[in-house]
Amino acid sequence: MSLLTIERPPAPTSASSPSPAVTQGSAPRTPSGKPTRLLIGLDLGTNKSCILAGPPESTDIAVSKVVPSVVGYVKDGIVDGIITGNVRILYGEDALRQRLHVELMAPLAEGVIARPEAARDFMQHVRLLADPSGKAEIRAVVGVPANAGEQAREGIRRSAQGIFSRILLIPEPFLAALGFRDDSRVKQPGYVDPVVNSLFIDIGAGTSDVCLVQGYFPTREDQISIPFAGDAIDEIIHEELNRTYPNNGLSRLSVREIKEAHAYVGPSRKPLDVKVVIGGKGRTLELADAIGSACNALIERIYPALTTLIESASSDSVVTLLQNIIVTGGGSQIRGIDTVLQKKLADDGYESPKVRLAGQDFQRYVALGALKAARAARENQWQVLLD
Amino acid sequence: MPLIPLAYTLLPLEAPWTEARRICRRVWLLRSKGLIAEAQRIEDTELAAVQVRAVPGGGLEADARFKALMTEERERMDAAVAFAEVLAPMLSERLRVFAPERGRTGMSPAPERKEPGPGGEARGIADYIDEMLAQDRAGSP
Repeated sequence: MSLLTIERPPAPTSASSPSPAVTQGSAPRTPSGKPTRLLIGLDLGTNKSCILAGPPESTDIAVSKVVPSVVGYVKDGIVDGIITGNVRILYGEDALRQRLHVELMAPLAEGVIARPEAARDFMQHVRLLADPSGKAEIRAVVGVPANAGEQAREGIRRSAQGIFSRILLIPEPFLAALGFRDDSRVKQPGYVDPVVNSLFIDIGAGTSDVCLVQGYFPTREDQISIPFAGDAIDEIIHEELNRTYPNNGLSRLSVREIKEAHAYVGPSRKPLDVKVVIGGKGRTLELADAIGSACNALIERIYPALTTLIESASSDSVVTLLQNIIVTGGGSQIRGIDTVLQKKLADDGYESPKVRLAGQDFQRYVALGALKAARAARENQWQVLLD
Repeated sequence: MPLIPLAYTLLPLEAPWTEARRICRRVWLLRSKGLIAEAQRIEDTELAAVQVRAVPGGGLEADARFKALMTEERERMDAAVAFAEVLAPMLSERLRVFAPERGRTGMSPAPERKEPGPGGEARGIADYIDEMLAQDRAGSP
């Protein structure tokens, strides 16, 4: 069972055409004749990106897609007709599906742009997903890892130049809190606004970000970004697999799929028998310790960051804060992560901690927060991207 | 009560030359920090007092011996500072390798506790964005 639900669009006739659900035809124009403005909330993830798009003066979400953050450049010599539409570049699921015929490139590593050209191509794809007509003026709020440096931010801006007209970069944990907030309940008594007093743990593929969100924009000291997340877990599992089952021939992608299906933290869940196909033959591998120890390594890195931020909160706010620790991102799908973190806090004497998971919409909260921010941003807060 | 006079009462039997060395190191440390007046005061009072105890008769030989002691301690302080200048970056680098990096991971001792902001509907999202932009401007060179 896959831990992460990916929206799989029907096979398009070309790599860049949208699914029928979001076909818009030519962009409508305003009565004044100016191109329509579209806002994008973009969670640019190392492994998966989430794109939410909609008009400015509305709460409608016209486009909602989760796309693997991968670009596939068709290899030379591929016979016509092998690649649908004979396109030269594929994206997301299409690229993964045709991985035998393409050079796969991941635009990001550890949450930041690693391959600028692939990043630009990916941004073009994001734009077309949001606006198939290619005619709308697009402004995007893009999530960045907590405490991302100026170089990382500049990488994102450069990849979006000429593609979006305006951009705003906001740390992902804050966007997650914004996205997680139920705006309809903010006025209800008893509702604890996550933007007012919460601690978010956003576990992605490249980084795990822990952030204190307490009614003001988090400072550098309120955010901790740990370069250990899903990809690092994959690497540990892969190494252990190669040690325990030499010549297993499993790719990193296969290891990730195994992890997503069986990841857990806490005591060993032996036996954990996983059926795989090696060399064309079905084999059963016992992977409890390989998976458990790799995932528990994540806890060892997250927990000190968690307690550091808890202890930095004021005594007036910390009791409520301890009741609002939320785990989001792909790592929220690791079985037992909420109970293990909660138990560790309780065992260490923290008062009535409550750790909960963001829920089935975990993939969308950063992008949702980004779209909310895009709709609320004032004109002078946007950065202009010069061509 | 200054620490050095207290040290005299706690260690009445310590050899005066050992004491003199300690005071010399303190003098040179103060001078290296730019606290010249304080260094001079200690030289004129405490160091002079221990010199009398170390060489009760005084004389040229005693003066020469004391000057040699001062020079020796100054050279030791200079070597210690140079060693620290080399060692500190090495230790920082090793600590960065074995522990999460402050710049990206921010694992530092608990910072000063902050009070939560008003939050909620009292603040709009645009207000939060303003705060973020102000932080970015404050942090940019």
